[in-house]
Amino acid sequence: MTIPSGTPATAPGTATRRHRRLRLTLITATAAVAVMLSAAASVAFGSQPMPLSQVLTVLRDPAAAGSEAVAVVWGLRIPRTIVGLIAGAALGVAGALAQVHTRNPLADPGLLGVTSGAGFAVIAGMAFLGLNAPLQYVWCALVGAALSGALVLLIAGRIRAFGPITTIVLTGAITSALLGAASTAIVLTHEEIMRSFQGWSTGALVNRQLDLLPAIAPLLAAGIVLTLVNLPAWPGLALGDELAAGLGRNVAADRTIGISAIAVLAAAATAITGPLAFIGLLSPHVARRLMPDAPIAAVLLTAPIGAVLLLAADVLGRVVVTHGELPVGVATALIGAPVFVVIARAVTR
Amino acid sequence: MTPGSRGLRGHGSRARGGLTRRVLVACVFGCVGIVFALLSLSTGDVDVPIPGVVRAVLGLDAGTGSFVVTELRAPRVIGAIIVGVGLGAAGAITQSLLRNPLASPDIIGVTAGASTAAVLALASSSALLSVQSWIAGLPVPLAALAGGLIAGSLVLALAWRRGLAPHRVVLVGLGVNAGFGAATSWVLLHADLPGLASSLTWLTGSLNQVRTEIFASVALIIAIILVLLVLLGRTLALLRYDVRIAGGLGIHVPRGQLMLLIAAIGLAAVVTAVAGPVPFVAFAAPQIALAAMRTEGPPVAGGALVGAVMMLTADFAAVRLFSSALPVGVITSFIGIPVLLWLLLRTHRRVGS
Repeated sequence: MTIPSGTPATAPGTATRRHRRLRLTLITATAAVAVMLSAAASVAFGSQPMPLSQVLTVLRDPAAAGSEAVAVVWGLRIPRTIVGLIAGAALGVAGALAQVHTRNPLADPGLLGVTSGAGFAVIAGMAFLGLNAPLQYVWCALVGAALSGALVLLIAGRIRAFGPITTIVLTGAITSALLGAASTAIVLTHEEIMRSFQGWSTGALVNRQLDLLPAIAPLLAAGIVLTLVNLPAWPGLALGDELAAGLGRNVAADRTIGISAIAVLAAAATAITGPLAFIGLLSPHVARRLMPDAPIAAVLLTAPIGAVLLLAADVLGRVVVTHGELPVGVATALIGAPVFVVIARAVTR
Repeated sequence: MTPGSRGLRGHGSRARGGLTRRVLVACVFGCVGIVFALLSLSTGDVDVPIPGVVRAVLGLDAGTGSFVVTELRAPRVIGAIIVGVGLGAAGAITQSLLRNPLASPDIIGVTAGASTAAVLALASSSALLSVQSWIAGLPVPLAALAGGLIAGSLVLALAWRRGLAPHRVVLVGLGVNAGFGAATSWVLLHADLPGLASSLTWLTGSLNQVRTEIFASVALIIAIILVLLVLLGRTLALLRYDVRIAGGLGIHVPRGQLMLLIAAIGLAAVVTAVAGPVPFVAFAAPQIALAAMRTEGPPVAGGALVGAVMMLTADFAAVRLFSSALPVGVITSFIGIPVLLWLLLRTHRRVGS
């Protein structure tokens, strides 16, 4: 287990405290700048090359720029940037919560099967219940995320063949494979879904309607509230269930709140982007590298880090490929899979 | 940790199945396979009665029915058998050598790597990557072979730390699998692949677009590997039993392990060129054969037989039970995943941390 619980029990000296506050301010400022830079890059670069001066003209004076440029910037790039910021932040925090609650440095809503549960539920809802309104998708995603997350934890709890880290990842992979096969079967036998869900199964930010945002807003709000309520529980959970109970925490309640927060945040992100893995895995590791001695701040820091990672992956996917673009789900998997292997090697030492 | 009657761990405490049991089980599976092969050949948009199918297969008839059977339906059946035999045998060998039922080529990313290389070779667009220009010149089965060997060596090298601990092989393999899956999506999304199904179908593993022109070269590579396996049969039996005893009996252990692993990875990789990365056959077929035949470890011939039967039944179900033909991989997942869960849940002692 590598989750540091690093807060010293004794009060640190004033010098260290000032040092830490400075560091916190510095990192917060850097995170804010990084978020703004990645958002700017996401608006500036695209698969259709457009000179930077023209992008600026569109932003300053839409009337002066051509209508096509306005359509590209305001109609495509800005919406996908907003979607990327929100989904990345939600996935980053969900990943951090998953790693805290399962005490597993390889946990991630995508790897735990939560996002594929959300995706499967949306597809099944469209096919069998005839759902077509954004709000209905979001509720479907939430129910699917919660059920698949619960299923993974239930099955993992009964597997004795491997230790907890491998068991959770393996169970998540099995559940994702099963739900993926079921989703494929539904999509291929219902042509109307095939059309509306083209590319959705790989996860993408493009062509996402912003009309989903009001529908996921309550979920995001609930996710933020649950995360903040859960905040005092983390130092105890990092020590293990027994010690947390010994510290006077109600472990069952803490765990329920935390897992609800994961489901809510992952469902919100999946509803607007499709299933995305690895953002939730990477963000907490980056955050812990930056803030090794402040576990709570590190979890909160995963929001900007997740947003930056997702936008960076999306911009890379647009720039690297010579024609067309790479769906962000493919880009995050290409970046995330090697990192997953590195972390897996480190934790199975 | 050889999989036995206690799930993931330990030699079977139950009595081993005798030769009679193995022959009987093989006959039952063989009959099921023949029945589903005949059903696949005879039913469809045009029903051809079974005697007509037999005549067409034997080349005694030359009517429309014969055309439907030999030209339209036989390629699927032959493809299913080739893929099933290759995956089943490959899974049995890797599971035996690594003493880990989860170390099968479809779980640890070997077939994913093979399919990435196969789609690179199939892609006609040259603007994709610089490496693609020379891969595109390779025949698809050879490209798949190379891709599978690269993925397999990657997993083994990255998972190696004073031995191949089962849990590390599984974790590293899942990561490599995800990486190559994403790479395949990339190629499929950005290359012009005339005649190849949508990325969804190819990534799931499907016989819908089976290409008969590569059957001969795939069958040739499989035949060479099978001859090699027959020659290495005693080595495999001893390595499976006990590595130290094998060494004491004069077997060059590292060389034997390496050659057998290359043979297994090669088998799994080359059949991926036929139908894409069909999931869970290489994992489940040897385990089903092991449970039914009660052999000491996952049987190679038994795994190949069960693999072929699994592919034949799954493809029949995929094509006939749904309104439009599903990729066979959907059904093999539905068969293989319960086997995997059953195996994991009945293992009570830990095989890895």
